[in-house]
Amino acid sequence: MTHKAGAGRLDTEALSRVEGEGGMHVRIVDGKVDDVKLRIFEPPRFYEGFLRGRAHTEPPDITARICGICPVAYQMSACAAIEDACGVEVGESIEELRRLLYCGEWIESHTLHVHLLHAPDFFGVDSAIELAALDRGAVERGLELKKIGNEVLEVIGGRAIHPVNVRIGGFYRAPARSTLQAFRPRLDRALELAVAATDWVAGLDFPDLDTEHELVCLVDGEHYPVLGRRLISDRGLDIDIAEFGDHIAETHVAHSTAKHAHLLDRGNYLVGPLARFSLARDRLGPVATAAADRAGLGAECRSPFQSIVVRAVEVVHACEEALRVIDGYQPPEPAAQPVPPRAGTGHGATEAPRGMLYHRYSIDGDGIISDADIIPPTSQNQPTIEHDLFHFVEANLDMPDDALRRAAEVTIRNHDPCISCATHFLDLTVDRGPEGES
Amino acid sequence: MNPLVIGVGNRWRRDDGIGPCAVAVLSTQLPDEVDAATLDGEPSRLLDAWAGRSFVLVIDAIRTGAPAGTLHRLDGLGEDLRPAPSASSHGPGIAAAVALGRALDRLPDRLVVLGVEPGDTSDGDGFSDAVMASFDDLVSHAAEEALAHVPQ
Repeated sequence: MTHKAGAGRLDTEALSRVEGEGGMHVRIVDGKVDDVKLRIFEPPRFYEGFLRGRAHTEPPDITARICGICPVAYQMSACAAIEDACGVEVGESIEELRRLLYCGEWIESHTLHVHLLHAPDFFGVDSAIELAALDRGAVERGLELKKIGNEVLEVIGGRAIHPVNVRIGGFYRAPARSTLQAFRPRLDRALELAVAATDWVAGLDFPDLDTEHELVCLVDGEHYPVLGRRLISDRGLDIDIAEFGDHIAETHVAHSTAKHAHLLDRGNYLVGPLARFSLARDRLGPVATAAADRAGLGAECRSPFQSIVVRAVEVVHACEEALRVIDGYQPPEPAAQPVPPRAGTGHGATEAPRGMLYHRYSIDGDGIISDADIIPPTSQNQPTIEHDLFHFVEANLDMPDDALRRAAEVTIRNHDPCISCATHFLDLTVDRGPEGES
Repeated sequence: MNPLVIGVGNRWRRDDGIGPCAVAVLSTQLPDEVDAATLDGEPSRLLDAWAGRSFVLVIDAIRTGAPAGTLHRLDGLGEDLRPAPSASSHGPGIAAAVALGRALDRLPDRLVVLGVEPGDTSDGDGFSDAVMASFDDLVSHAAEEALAHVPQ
């Protein structure tokens, strides 16, 4: 919607440059941080509710609508869970095509965050528009790279937003080998741009801060994690995705319509680029590995601020991976395996750009869904983000509210939260109690 | 290059869908010398669509505080637009796209934003009565404006 100048201004304190909207409230009592809450004021989306009674073929299309930035993640996790429920394992060629589609989403989503949302923080400006005045080439590069990511989605998925070519068991139509070969030069160009982007962000200044949280991601065979059924952590978690509910609990919190997730008896954890990189650095492609080395990244990376570098490295990897899949591509025949319904419960997870996304469905013998559970990465990271904010605010109580608000926004943006997926945030208030409030 | 008509909006948020719906109708009425597209308003896609064009017409719901159904015509390259209240990248709005396009020299020579004041942008399909009553006028104005810029 367009807004005309001179119209009555609305409150513009919504947290900018995150996906979706939300609010954050910090309460300070007697000079100490009493509480930090990521508040949600959009209505919940009820996807889990209205999936009940739908056919087992529908979740890829329905859940893709949860997010316009990472619809492929929802489609892939939905397919994995439904196929698990029905006892179907798709072949390697379908899995490879899914991997290629996912590469497009990683490229466009990460590039959006790296260049247009996160980078302005490191240049002390408020937007990509101001950043363009300082480093026009970087913004141009980001737009070109993002466009190529979108093109991958269009070629494989039929369109860039909410792709229409995905179905349980595979795809409605597999692209011809010649189609993908013709697209190859675009990915060569993307790889070149992604390497340049990594070198660019590696030169930024990063505050000295490491997260202490448990890092969790999927294991994807010899691949850097995208698909897969085992979930591991840096502290010994090693479970099949079907055991997710035995180890990770979701809780409702009064201030949020997104549920919070915790590792049972272990507490907060972190999914996403830092977890993947720290647990699977040795599975990056050679160009991405070289870019990570050049950027000075060690065996692991626990700095939320340096997540911008890790995202850039993951874009390099996604370009490499897409080229690898194209070079070995044989169209799956048929394009989708049959997935006849079978009564049962299935679990699936894949690595969305922001981290592991879990789906669970129970279906009856006719394929009608009786129960659904969807746990997006931002729901899993939300307690961790609140924890980081609590300690950040506590250490910086003497900052003026405006400066504190800006710095807190940066702390949140480090995690690239997708509020629209997790159902949603943010306008930031600092309550300093009766003696001083904003 | 041909003049371009872009419909921006979300047809599942009632009156916010006026842009895509108007473009759907215009596509059946306008000659081949006018290009048409439907976009979600994401800036990089707008920049790609309109860069290098001499004339672009964007059709969108336009919020000014006027009564629902009021027709608006704004100069997209002037001072008429302001950033949307939410800076979310899901909906940064045309103003942000224009600002980014200006910084990167990716603007058309002329950009007009034509639209209707929305009355109901809640979830769902179908327009409010006030917007429905203005729809034909909007389409007529848009067609007239686009045809006036077809190269002779």
